Amino acid sequence: MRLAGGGTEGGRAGPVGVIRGMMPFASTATPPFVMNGARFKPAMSRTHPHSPAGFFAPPPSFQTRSPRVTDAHPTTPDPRSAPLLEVRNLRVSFPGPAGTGTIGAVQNVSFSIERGRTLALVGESGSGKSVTALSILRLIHGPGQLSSGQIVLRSERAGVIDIGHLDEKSGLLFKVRGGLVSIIFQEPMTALSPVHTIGAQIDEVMLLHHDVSPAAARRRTLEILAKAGISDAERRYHQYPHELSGGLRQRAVIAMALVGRPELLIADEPTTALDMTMQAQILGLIKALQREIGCAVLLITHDFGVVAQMADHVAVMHRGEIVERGDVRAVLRRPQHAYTRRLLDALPGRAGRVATSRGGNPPRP
Amino acid sequence: MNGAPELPPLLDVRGLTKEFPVYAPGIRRRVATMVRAVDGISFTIRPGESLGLVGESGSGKTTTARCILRAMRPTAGEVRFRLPDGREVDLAQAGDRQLKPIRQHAQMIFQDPFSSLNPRMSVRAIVGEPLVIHRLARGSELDQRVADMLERVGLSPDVGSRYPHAFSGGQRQRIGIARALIMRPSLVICDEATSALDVSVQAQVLELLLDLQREFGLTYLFVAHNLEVVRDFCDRVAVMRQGRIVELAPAARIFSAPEHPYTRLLLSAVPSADPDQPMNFAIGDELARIDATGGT
Repeated sequence: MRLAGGGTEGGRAGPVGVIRGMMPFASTATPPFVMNGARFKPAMSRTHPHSPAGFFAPPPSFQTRSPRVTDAHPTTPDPRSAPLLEVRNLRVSFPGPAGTGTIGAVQNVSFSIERGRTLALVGESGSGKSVTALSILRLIHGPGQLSSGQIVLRSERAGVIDIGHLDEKSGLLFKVRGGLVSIIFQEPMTALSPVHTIGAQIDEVMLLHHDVSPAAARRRTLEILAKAGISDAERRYHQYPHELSGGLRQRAVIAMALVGRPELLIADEPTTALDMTMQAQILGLIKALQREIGCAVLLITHDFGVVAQMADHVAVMHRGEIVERGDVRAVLRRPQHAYTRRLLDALPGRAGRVATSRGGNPPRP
Repeated sequence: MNGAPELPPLLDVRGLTKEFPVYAPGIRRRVATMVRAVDGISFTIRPGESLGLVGESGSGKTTTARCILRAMRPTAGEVRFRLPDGREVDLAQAGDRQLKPIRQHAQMIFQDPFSSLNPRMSVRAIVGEPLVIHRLARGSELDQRVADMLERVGLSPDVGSRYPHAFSGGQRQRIGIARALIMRPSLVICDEATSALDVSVQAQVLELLLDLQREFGLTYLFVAHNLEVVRDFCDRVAVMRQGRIVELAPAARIFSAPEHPYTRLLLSAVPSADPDQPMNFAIGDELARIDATGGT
């Protein structure tokens, strides 16, 4: 299924504001993109990471500040078979209390995510999993800093992007954030603006990242709201976040994250604030939409139950390092690291945990 | 069973009902209708027992907890509570003056360790305040009891001068537990006491609550949305839905042979740590079906 403006999604990189008036001109300038967009994109994007769709697009060298961007993997034969995201030796540090040097919140973390698959990043609070997720979107702000490492996104639409070395103001980073990679946070209220309607906020994603008219954006928003299990989407479109329940808000946030068909969805504890029945529904929704859109998911959680249900691969984080990783069945059935075993034993309902602490009490009927 | 069956119940709730007004739009705040959050529920808790109260958000479990502790006044029903001296009082009818001395025997542990502690009070002041309010201790005796309690919940006594922001979620929950238990209450209501915590911290806090139960002979009403959490923790479990208790049974039976379709549905929503045992992702449709058939 293509988007309303599907033919141009891989191509446009020009300024957004003037696009609408220029549309006829822009599309005649690049007929291959409009007519055969999906087929031409991979080939085009390898030579020009963000191929100009129209008159206004600056030359690639203007936007690509770091020469490493395109040179990172010169030997990669086909970006489709290589992992979508590769994080190598990532380090993120924050200054410690005065005079104690820096704290390595993330230390030498490496992992990769295959296209369309789900990687779960598991750990307790403070283990660095959220900081890892935020650095993929370059959302670590001072005093914290990405001190070393590579974050390479092999986008089908925009080519190979070394996110770690993008300039803060580059158009490519803008495109990554919310366009190619989107994120769902634990608490939906913090992700939604209280003064804009649900519809306006989801429309905005399409208007910023895709070359569509407001009417087309609205159609697409209503479509994704319905797919996200929001009944009466027409009415919800005009409502404000405070008028929705917690579960509906999280559905709206998921709709907002997926309306632009990102290639990677980061879900940072998406169900921790919800009760069990709502959690089951939201996880099911993420799974269904992932299958439909074909995006990869980086799922951050502290719950191995959620990992088992959702992930293909798992990486266990402890104090800023990945202590164990692998196929989800292998890790869950034969955990190698003591910390992984401890997390698994902490699951409620695991035999032996609370039972031993009950000590002298007789077994219950 | 933890509590001996022949003991009279510590808490006997009969026909508890709580309604809230729904206002019509406009400035006159005319009451348009009443919504029944708790709909005539009855249960008992024996001394030393743990009763789990489980349900979705909006099922009325927190309202039940608040009505029992009289943070709000029930619309109807009785809440019979047995005091340590053997007297029985109906908390639903008691006046404020009558309630105050009773409150030291029934305490609450809250869900959110971030909003339930006053950020401008030191830990010592937070934990010691109940003793001051009820005039149970002062001076060096107060300090000693606070220090003992902090140590008992696994915090170093010298954290007393620090403020809540300096602690992690798990540590804050320990502070909340210390405050609730410092008066040695007989009934403790845990309102989603571990829901905001990581799985591993949750396990530690649950173990602490079990240790304290043994040591102080506590009786717990444990409110939670996660059935798995109450599995090992509680002797009996009540499943609430839309203000009513749909099933009340020993914990083992709730899990091995759930009778009500809604209980079975709740159990199917628990994510299993076995990837080959998929959880019920389509639970939304099935909930709607239960609603359509009237829930039986």
